[in-house]
Amino acid sequence: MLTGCYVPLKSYRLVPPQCTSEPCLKNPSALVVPTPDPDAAKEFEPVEDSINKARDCVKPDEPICLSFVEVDDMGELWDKAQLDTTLSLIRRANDAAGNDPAKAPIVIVFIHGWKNNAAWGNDNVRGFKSSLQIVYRRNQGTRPVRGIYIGWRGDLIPASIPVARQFSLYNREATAIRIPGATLSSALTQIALRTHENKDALAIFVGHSFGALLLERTLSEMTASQLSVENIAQQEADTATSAGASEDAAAQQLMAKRATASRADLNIFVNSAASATEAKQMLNFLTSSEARYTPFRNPGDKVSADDDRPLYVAVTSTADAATKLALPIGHYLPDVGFKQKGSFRNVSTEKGNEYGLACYDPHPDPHHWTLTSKAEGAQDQSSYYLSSAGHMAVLQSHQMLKAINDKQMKVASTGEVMNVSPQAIAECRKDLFDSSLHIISTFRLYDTHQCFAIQERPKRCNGTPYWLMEIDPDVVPDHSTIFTGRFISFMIDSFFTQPNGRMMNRASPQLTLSAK
Amino acid sequence: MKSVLRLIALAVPAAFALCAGAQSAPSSPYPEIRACPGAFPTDLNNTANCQYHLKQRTLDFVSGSVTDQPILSAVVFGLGAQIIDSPGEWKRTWYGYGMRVGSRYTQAVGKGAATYLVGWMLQDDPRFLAYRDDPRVLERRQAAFKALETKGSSGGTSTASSVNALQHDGWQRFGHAWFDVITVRHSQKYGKGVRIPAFSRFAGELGGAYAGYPWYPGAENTPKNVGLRASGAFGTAVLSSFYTEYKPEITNLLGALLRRGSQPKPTAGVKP
Repeated sequence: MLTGCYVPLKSYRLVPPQCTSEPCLKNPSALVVPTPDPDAAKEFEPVEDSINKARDCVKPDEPICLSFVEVDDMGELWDKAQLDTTLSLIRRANDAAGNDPAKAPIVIVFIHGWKNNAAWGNDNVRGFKSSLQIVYRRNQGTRPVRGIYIGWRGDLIPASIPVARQFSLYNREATAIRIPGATLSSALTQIALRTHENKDALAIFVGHSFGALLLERTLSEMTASQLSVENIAQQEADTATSAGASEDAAAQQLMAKRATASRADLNIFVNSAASATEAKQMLNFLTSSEARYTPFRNPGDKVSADDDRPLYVAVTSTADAATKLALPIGHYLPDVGFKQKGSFRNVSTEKGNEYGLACYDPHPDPHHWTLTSKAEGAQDQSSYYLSSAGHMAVLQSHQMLKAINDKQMKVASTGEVMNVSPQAIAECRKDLFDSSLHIISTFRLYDTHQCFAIQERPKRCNGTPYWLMEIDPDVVPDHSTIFTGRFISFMIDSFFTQPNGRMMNRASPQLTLSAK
Repeated sequence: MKSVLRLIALAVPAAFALCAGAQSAPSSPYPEIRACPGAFPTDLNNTANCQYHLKQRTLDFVSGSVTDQPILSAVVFGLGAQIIDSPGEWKRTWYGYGMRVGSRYTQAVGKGAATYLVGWMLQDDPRFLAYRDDPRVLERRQAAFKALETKGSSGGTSTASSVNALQHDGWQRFGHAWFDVITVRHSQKYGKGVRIPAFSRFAGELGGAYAGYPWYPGAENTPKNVGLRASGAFGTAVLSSFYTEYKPEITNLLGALLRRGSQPKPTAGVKP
């Protein structure tokens, strides 16, 4: 009887839904997303479609397609055919693009979070479809968009039993920790590699809530090893070139290129429900290797502070109660257990037991320093476990500013108010802001045209390509409301776009690590 | 008969609705402001159709008044009543506790059913909307930023009225939260339904209070006591509306207690 209280463990995209009008859908794992209205005034008016109107994505030049890859509670694929179909969609889009960079596909992978799955009519499925339409339209409808929805059993208890549903948090968190493994990491690697068979195609991975936890756990280890291979192979290639060993150099360069191609060009975590312990290891790696990511500059170009871009972006709403309140409360008891067993290290300067926080910022001099006491901002390991990375000020690399009147902007994360040039607010242009503010980008809220800016956090400890910031509730109001015109346009304006306003490209996708 | 009932039910609020008035759309190229009750402005899942459908209404009724939420609520508040010995006619025994829990659960079902029925008849949309997300407020803010943009590009300065429109006025928010409790919107495709008095909510509170009749001892069923029970239940609607309005502040306040990893001090750190 109790099983009736659970959302069943099943795949939603293997069996075609009941069809009442021809032509019927044959493969619900690969659908055409309706092309949006070209009228710019209707940019965020999603084109609704229904099961009866759903069409199979079979034509290689279809503008927007959405495919599904589903995994079960143990992280195994429901059917490998779903992944094969997805890879085939990407290959056909690449083939159709030929050598034309303007037609290179944009591949976006989305992993949903808690209380969602890949069911027909699921809010995340509908929202992701609408977001793909916006990305397509923002590219003037020239670049095909391929969306890949990674479905897992994020919804354990139906919405009609709301209290029990809230208590499924622990169970689903454990599942999101369990799923990452060989299956998902190989699937993501194949998706990235297949995408980058076209050197101009973009692969973007996005995770929300527990989906971000799932994505981060899947990516951290493999990205760190890919970056290491990429860097060492490039160094070997340079050594071989200077020694005149051209064959060796070519082989090493190929290895570096493969490593670069096997990761996404941008990884985005939205309202991540992962403990900061997940991000901390990657931040340690990027800090110690002095990583910089400047994809808009060609190799050999002079690089300025403005060229630094993120490989990882974690954005978290200041009004996200799930990660701000539920996560620390939910982790409190396990934290006590860990502490009793002595699992956490405390901030210490004692010889042989040093624990602080290593900082790196490529812009000010010196680039490296270490926070060695709590007074300076260093944290015990327990603190990282009890918070999400996005909410930890000491890990934040950037902050969001919001215009609150004609000459003042407010920092979303701290509430601090600062005076800025009225002209900068009125025109909402990065170049009109005082250069000492280190404004990275600006954007207008889609509907009200309110001006926002992204600023490098002053005195930050984290200057790596793993950007972390809290964002204003006017952009994301809570934990779950992420498929909005406001948020999607913010993401496109801030992270998918180059400083010249054009869509980001892959001029130099290598991440530069220190030669040390 | 059903149509006549619906007509009567709609005629009364129509008079009130005249005061609320419809909202005008801003001119192109600025997008038309759309905000569904209960949803966030530009929510992609609601902009095409934000009607409060029967399916959603039924789900809200079942989850809020039938399944585990009202049961938990009855168990907790029944325990509170047991502790303060209210009503005194029920002894502090398991039987008394059962009566307290049973009466509360029945009232929850009665309240939900009355809200559901009256709301369905009037086709209302009872979902709360924060002041900052109200279409009229959004339109004013859009107009203010439009004015700033125009002045900015021509090198002028902004007007005081345009600047004022950007502020979130404390009293307006407070008033809006109350207003949202006593009024609801008529369910519309684009969320711009006129405001009508919250008949469904009032009916729900009374329905819930009267649903307790068979449970409570006779002395508790006077109009005064029923009224008290109804107004007590109305408090949950007030709390919900205020939570919707002040959610960011509440989250920040509670979050500050649990916050980890403060901003590093400007002079912090061991430099090499």
